[in-house]
Amino acid sequence: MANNPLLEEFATAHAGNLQRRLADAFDGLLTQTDEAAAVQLKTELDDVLQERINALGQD
Amino acid sequence: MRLVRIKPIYFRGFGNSDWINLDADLVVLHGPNGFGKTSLTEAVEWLLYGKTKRRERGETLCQRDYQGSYRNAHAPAGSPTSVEAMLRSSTGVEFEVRRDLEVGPRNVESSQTFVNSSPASLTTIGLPTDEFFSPVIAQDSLQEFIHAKPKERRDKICAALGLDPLVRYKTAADKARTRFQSDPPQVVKLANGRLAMIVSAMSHSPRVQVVGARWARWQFDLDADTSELQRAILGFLTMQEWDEAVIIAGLGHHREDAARRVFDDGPIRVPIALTTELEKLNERRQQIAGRVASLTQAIREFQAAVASLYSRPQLQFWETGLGLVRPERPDMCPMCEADTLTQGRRTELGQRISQSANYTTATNALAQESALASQFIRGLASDVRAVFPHFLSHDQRDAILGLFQGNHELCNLFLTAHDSASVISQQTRELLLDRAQRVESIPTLAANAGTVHLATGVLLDLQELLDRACRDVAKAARDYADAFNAFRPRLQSKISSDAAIQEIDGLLAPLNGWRSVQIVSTYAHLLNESLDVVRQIEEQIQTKQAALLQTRGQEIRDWYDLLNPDAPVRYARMEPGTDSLSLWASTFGVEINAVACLSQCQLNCLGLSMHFMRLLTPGSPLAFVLMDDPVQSMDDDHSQAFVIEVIRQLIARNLQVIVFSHVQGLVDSIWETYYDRAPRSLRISNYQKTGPEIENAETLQQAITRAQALSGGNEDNRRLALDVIRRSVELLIREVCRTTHSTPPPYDATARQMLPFFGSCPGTIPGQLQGLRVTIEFSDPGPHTQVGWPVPTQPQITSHIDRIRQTARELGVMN
Repeated sequence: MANNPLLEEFATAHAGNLQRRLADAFDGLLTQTDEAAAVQLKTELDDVLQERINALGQD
Repeated sequence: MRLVRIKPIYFRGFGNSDWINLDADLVVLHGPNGFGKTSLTEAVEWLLYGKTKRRERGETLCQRDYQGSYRNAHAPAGSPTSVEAMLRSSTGVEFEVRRDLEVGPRNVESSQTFVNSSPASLTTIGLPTDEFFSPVIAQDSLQEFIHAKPKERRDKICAALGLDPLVRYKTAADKARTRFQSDPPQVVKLANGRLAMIVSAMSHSPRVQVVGARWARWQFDLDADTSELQRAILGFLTMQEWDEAVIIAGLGHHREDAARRVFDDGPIRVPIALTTELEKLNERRQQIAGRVASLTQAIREFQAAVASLYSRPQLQFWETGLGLVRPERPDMCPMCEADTLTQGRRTELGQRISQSANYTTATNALAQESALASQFIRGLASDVRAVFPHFLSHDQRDAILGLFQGNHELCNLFLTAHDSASVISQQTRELLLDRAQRVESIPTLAANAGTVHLATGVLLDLQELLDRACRDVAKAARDYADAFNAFRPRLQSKISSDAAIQEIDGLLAPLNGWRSVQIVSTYAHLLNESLDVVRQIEEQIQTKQAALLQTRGQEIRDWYDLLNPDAPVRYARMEPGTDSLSLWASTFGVEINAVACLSQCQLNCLGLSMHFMRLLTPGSPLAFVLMDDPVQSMDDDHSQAFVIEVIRQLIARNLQVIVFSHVQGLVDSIWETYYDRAPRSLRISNYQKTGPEIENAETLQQAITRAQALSGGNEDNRRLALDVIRRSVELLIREVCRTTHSTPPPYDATARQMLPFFGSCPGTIPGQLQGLRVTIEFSDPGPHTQVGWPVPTQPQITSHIDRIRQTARELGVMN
């Protein structure tokens, strides 16, 4: 759950898993620089991909 | 927060100055150019943000020019450079804030802020770090927002609208996506490499090449693609039901058949268990060594038996004779019937008969051992066959040469190794079979006295021969395996280049590499999803921005219209775009780009309007605006609109308004227009090395006192005294209007024009009105420049000063 109302509104309006994941992740990065936040969000994308690949193996 | 007072110390043009009191709803400061107004403006800006826009802009051109420019040039060594101020919140809480300049190694400048004398960020008392809300409208920043890059303009407006978190989110998400695209995880890189090979294989198979072409463009719809592939493969195999294991096996069989039609490499493949076969060969060789030893022993025993051998009829004779011996006369020989068959003789004959039995045993043993040894040697020959492939027939050899057209180096190397192995295999087996035959002949040779020596000769070099043969075979088998393994990929490639095989490979490739396809597809989808997220954030920003700009844009229009009543050219709107913001004006119904088409005056008006809109952003903690020469490039009408309309609106919105100007008329008109609000009027009377000398502007009492002092001076002073008398009358009339709550005269009214306003004030009498009229005529500047005009004397001046003082006392506006 994102604390920032704008981010929460965005994540709620777009109910996708990725929107929620990234909005929640960025919510915890608001005090960081854009550069540091971008690095963290890239890691988040890596993690989402790995989870989806792992899920392929369970099909 | 309002600005109550400020004290710049050795900052810019200031020396060790005193507090400058700004505690009023409206503050006007007049000072000639170069007397320190801009220094005071920048002091406020630096105090709040630790930098000034002027220097920031300048440093982009030449950093060295601006090095050390915050510190006063005359500051004594060791003295501080700081700006201190008192701020008051809307609830009346006052904060002392201070910023000290710090100069580090290599003259790198930084600063430290203090709140109530303790080091602290100004954000701790709610002041924003974002300059967007800056209350300072400096001379050179009036059009800053207008002439910013469209993206900066958009970022600033988004910050003002409170959309900063979304804008930052979009920036970070966009950067993250770009990195995710340019530097995918290793698993994706590997899968993508594999996908390239799959797509390449599929391109040779007409049934699936369309799907492959889509995958090459990273267009994946795996459900639909799966159906399409299954239909294609089932069609190829003429099957109805999809069973992946069966399908893959079926394609495999088809491929093998097709490959055999091109060239069947089965006969020349290296035995699967070559290492095991070589071990078996060695083991067999060691077993044969044991067998040879046993065979040698059997020959020896046979020869011993032969040496003591009597003829079979004799043995039968002795055996029969001994059987005929009568028990009562055991010594009597049945043959000669004499007692010649003594006990000793009987024993000797018994031994001879016994030895004949050993011979039989030795004969049987020799036959058995030679057969066994021969069998092992034949087995070894069979083992030798097992470590080699089935060699090429002539036709196969021609076929392989046809594939390579006889000119491929690896092919030639392989054929050399093949031929060598073939020869060794053949020769070794022939040798072994020959030896096996010779071993089998040992019993025959041994039984014949003439050939018995040959029997042992067969075994003499047998072991050495077997050892050498096995070493040669093992080496040849390994050499062949190396040559074949090196050659096989090239051979497979030749075989695979056949169209029929390529088609099958194209069908097999997506099945065998399905996981790679899935991984790349998953990555591609996530990449697209992340792009959608960035777009959705942008859409959200634009939607919110458009709604907010509608409101804030109207504010800008309202401010602009206040400054430009009934003007043919009007500010129209802000147009948000992706990462940009355009400003539009309208002229006679046609929209034009405001930045490019408005005049300097109009741009200044627009700049002021933008600043006011920003300053009045809901939630902005700063409740004052400081304008340094705000009416630059404006004509009288615009200046008047600024004084009468704009300042009134700003004050009405609870903003503390501070105006600096070098135009005395503007300062006077503001002061006079808002006289009833008790504005604070300051002036910079002098500028010295120690900084500007700022003092309060004159009150009525001060003006009268100054006029009195000037009246005792020379002609120039007395001429100046007349101006001060006239200004004193104006101050008197405005003060009377204010205290009686009567309609004040216009800001630009002359003293003569003010008289009717005085006459209409309750409590004034005609005599006072008439007296002031006389004084105004006395101080009329019109005749001053006429040749021969006599400068009034001190007594003449004093009488008018006394009249003003008396009237003021009668009406209660002065003690």
